[in-house]
Amino acid sequence: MQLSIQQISKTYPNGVRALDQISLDIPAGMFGLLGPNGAGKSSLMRTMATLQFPDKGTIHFKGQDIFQDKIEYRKQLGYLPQDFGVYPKESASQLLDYFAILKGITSKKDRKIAVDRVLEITNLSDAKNKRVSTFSGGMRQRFGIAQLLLNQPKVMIVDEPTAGLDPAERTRFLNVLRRIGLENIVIFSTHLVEDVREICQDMAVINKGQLLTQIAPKEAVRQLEGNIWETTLPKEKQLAISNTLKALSTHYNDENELVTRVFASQRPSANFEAAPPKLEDYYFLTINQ
Amino acid sequence: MQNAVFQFELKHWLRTPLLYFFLCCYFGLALLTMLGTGGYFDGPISSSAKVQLLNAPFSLTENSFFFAKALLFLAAMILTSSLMRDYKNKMHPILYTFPLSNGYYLNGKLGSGLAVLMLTSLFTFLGIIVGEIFLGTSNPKIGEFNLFGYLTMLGAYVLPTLFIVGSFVFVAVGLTRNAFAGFIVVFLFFLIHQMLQYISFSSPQALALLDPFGQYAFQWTTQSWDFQAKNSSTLPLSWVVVFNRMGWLLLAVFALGYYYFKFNFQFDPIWEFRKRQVAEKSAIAGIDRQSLRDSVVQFDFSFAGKWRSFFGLLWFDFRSVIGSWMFWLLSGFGVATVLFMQLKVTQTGDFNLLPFTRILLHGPLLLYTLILIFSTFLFSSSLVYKPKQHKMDALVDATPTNNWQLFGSKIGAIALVQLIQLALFFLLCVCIQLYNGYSHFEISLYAYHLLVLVFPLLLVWNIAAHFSHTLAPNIFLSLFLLIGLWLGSQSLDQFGIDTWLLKFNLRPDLIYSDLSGYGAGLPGYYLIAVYWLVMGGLLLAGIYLFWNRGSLQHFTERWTRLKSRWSPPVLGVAVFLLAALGWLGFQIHQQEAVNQSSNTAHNNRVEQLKLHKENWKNYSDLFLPKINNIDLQIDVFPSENRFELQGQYTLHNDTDQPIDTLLIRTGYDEQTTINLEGNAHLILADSALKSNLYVLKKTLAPNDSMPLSFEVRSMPNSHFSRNSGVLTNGTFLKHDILPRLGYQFYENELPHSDSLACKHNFYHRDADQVHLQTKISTSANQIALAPGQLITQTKKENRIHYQYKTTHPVKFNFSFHSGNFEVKKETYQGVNIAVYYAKGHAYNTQLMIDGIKAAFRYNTTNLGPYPYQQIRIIEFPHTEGEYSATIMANNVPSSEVLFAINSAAMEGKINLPFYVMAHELTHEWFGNQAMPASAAGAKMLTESLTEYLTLCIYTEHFGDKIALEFLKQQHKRYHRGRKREKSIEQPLSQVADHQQYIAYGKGAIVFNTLDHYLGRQKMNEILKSYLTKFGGHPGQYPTTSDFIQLMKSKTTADQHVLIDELLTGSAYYNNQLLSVKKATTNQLELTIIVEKKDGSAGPSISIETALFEVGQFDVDGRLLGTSVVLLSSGRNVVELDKVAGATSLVLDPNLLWIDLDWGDNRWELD
Repeated sequence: MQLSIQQISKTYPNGVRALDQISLDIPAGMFGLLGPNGAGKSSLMRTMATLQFPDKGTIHFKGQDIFQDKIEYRKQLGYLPQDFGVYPKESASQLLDYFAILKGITSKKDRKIAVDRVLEITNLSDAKNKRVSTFSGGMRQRFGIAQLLLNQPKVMIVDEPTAGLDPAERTRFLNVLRRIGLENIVIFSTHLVEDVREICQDMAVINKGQLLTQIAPKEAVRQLEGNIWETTLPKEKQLAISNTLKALSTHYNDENELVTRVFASQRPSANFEAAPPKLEDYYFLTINQ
Repeated sequence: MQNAVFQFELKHWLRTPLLYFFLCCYFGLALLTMLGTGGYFDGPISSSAKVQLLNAPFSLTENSFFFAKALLFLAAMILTSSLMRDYKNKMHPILYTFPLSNGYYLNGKLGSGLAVLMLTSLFTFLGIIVGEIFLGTSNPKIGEFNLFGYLTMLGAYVLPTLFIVGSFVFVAVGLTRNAFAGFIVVFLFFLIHQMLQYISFSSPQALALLDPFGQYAFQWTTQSWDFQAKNSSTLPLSWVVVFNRMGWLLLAVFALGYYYFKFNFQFDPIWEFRKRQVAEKSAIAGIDRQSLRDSVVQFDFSFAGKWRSFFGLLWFDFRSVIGSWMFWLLSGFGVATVLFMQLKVTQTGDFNLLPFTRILLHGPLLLYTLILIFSTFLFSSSLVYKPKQHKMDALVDATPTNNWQLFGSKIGAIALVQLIQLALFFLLCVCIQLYNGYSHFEISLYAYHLLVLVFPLLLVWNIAAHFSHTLAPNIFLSLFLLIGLWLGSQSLDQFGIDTWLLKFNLRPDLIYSDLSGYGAGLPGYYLIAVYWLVMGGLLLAGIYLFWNRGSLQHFTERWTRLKSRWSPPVLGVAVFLLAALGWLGFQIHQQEAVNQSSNTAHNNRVEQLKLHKENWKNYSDLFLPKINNIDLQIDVFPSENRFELQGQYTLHNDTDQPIDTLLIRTGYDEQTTINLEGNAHLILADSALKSNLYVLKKTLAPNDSMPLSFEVRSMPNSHFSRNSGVLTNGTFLKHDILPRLGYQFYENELPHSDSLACKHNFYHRDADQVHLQTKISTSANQIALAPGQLITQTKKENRIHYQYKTTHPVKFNFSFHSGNFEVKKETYQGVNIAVYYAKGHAYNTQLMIDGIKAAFRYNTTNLGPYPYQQIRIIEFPHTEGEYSATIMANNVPSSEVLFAINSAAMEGKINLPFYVMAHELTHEWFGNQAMPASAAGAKMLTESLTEYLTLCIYTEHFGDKIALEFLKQQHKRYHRGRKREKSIEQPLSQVADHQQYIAYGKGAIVFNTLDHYLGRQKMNEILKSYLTKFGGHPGQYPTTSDFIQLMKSKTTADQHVLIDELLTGSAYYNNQLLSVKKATTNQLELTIIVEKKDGSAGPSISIETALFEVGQFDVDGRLLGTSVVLLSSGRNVVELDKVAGATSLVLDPNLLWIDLDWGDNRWELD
């Protein structure tokens, strides 16, 4: 089971090239899609969800072009967009029942079973008779997952689902995704590298519509071993480092000193200490190339 | 300080191409309307025609209400868009944290919206001005440019209305934060404006004051304007207009004030119909405790499964519409509209009808359907835009649901809502019927009309609305286009487009009669209905191809999507539908082409008559024989809608000249063959005007006779034109199917001095009174009726044959009937009275018989005998005449409307069934026995005398009080007609044929006044002498001069003044009982203003002395006594003895004089 993206491109009427010849093979498991804001993640997600046509290129699932028979593909698709809303007057169970119809569960009895099951999985059973419009951000995201799970999809596309969630909700949410991703394809876009590191077996980094890399997070970290260095220098010297070295990121330590991480095959100078590589280093290294 | 919000909004609008589209639309609409009304598309206009000037202040304002209403929908769109923009673009979280005051923010929003509206309204009226310039002053409908007229119209009516309704739109949208609220507010204002007409107000000013558009205030202000005033007067700002405008403006300001006060820069709407309940956050521990179990549910994507899903989605959408406040609000208004309208029809109108099913399915349903169409636009837009509006579109679009399921379920849900609304209408009608004690529930008629005729119309609008929502880029534009299509289709006629092929989803009027059903128009109706249904099918295919799913960025994506959905089955369906549409369109076109000449004949009858008058006028002075004996054989075939007639006239030369030429004109709608048995040559034929000129081989000597045979056949009906007078039930054929002699369009207004005037009667120049024998046959299940006495009745081979014969000569006014009638019979003084009516229409038959009997009693006692042994009242379908009843020999054909009168709601109104029958039977004496000459004022000798005698019959039958109510109605009738008069008011003795308000209303008043002063006995003596002298004397027909002369011969010289004033003058009064004071303990001092005006010339007439009555009434309205006072022009102070118990005084309590305003003739004593 694999989702295969071949050379897809998309340019919007205002001239923005959102996708530029992207090719990806996404196997079963959790797949992270990383990129800065405006990189084209949502465009790629929408295209994979058949909600927009690429100008060029194809996407195949199980060997079938998804745009040739969209309905067949959608039977196996679960999609949670970045910013979704709900009908204000419907309760969670009513709205899920509606989605269950949309997803092909025609028997009322079956719909009840399916709705109860996804409510239970997302721990929304107690709130099933409440209007979804009154849910908190985390509950609403869980509701999004609940609707996604209704048709037991093989391909799940989840666009920045942890944005706005508190840490506890985020952890639980990622756990659910990880669980789902054991047997299915879960494509998970985020600009939080940490999320990808925690749950994804594979990932891709895109920027300005182009695929920069596709790699397993562990492999990405492994590749950086011995190449990441840290230093705490006064602010005025930071600029010099940036000009001469591949500076990846900066942050303040507990002593309120500015810590700069750089990529180098050898220790740049005595002021630098070796640091354990992080997936974030790989991400910055990739998008800054 | 400059308002940045205002500037930003205004700039935004000025940068929006849509605004320029609207400016062009409204400018074009105004220009085309002006040109269309001005006859620009109709070719040259006769400059001699007396017309109302289009650019006079009156016409400008009258027409401006249409444009103001059209602008209101734009107001809804612009103001809603302005106010909702910040929410839609998610600017409000940022903007609301700025240090803005409510006033600053809302003024900017409202001000910019109103500025854009004002700009559009200026463009609209620029269109009118350009139209005026195009038409030019050479056009008889265009007068001098009148800037003040434009300014008054804009300042007093259009702009205030835009502000008033715009403010309410702004407030409603702001309070509910709902995009549809604005459109609903506009529509509700329309309904309120419409509904006010159906409410019975105690004072006419109340209607004028309450109208939000100021239209009724304008009408009230100009109600007494005659033709001249409408063309030349400037519009005064009457107190009613000022109060109306100020009142509504104040209300609008209050509403704005409330909103400004309530507005609080908060996220949530100020008004919510249900309070939100915030869900408690559930515990998240253990969220992954559950494992993902294997599914136990079935996914069904089979064909049947898809349909099950379809109905599941349909039910979800249906529930969401039914649960919305919009549904309940619009349905509530629909119910209220129907209730108010039916109240007017059954209880509070000038005359009231029983709630027959056909009546409820006409006016009330028409208005209700408008509400349903508007609801359809709103509900469908709410369903189509809902996923996007609530950001659910991506979730929905990514599901494995087919497009047809998605849009089909929405169309299905709206269709279900429409059915529910129709069911609601049905239940409402049944309740109305029950409330009125009417229990004849015609369920099948309701079902057929609502489901077969109305529902397909709604369904096509339903599909069209979805098509528009699918293609239009935003909700407002879509609604605007739909409303434009809806209203525009109904206005196409104005631009010379009268084909059904282009009038979107319109159908011909289909009027149901309880006798003849929907009549011959049904096939044409079906043809057009199916044509639009097929068009609906094509639109459905369009929705399928263009249905928005996912994000569409540009046209090429739409094109790509279209191509991806284009498949052989779709192609097949589209080709089939296009072929069907083409075929149906061709059929309609053919029918329209075939009927063009017929339609022209029907539609341009006036033109045809004009042409006939011109072409054949040279033959108007031909000496002609008169028809004096008629034999007819008529075979009516109701199921085939046709008749065949064979007839023979005996023509007699009454003149002293030999006759060698015959001009024969035959019925427009029939095929007639004239047979002169080889005695004549046809020398001139005009097939269009159905007139032929023959030269006789042998001249017809004076006092000689000759036969004239003819055959007449009805023309077949076509889909769009009813050519045959024969109906499946209730056939009502008149004498106009028979051939006539001579030029038929003589001016009636021959001067009395013209020697020809008394030679011919007012009705026919080719016949005096005639003998008629009719053999008439029809299908065996019907009864056929003709004038005269029934001689024989036989049944042969599923047909029934009757033979009728008149026992006395009758006027050449006949009717022939065939129908499934029930019969109610009574005998009165040896005369058989029979009412032939449709089953279920027995309600008023007794009242009719009572009217006949009362008239019979009064007239035979005071005037002379009734010559026949029977009188028949015969019902005919209201499609053949809405309110008419006419005596034709011994038959009184009566419209089915008379049979539907609600006799339980007649208090203070005319008892129409009684009145009409009494009136018609009285015509036997004045109209039949004594026919007036063909001269001006003839109707005084028929209608005025008859109406006066009906008042006498009323008095005798019901008493003085009810008779006074009858007289009041005659005053109202006169005033109503006078307002509509487009030429100078004639004295009663010169009344023109079309001046019904004078002949009937004023005639009854005048003869009643003469009766009051001369005495009833004297009046009867005069009338009896008149009948004796002029009744039954062909060739010696009387004019009004003869009548007046006879009257004077029977009265004293001082009474002649009164006779002259009333019959040969046209004066009226504007008197006023200004005040009443106590002079002494038992004496009252009255101040009375007397003003007498001349109706024909206008200025006041000075009177030195005249006698007027003052009545004193008790608290129950009983007349305690009447005093006569001597008054002169101007202010008069008189003293009267107070009658014990009097609580009010009324000047002219017996309604003897015509007074412009009766309201100021009454004074209540303390």
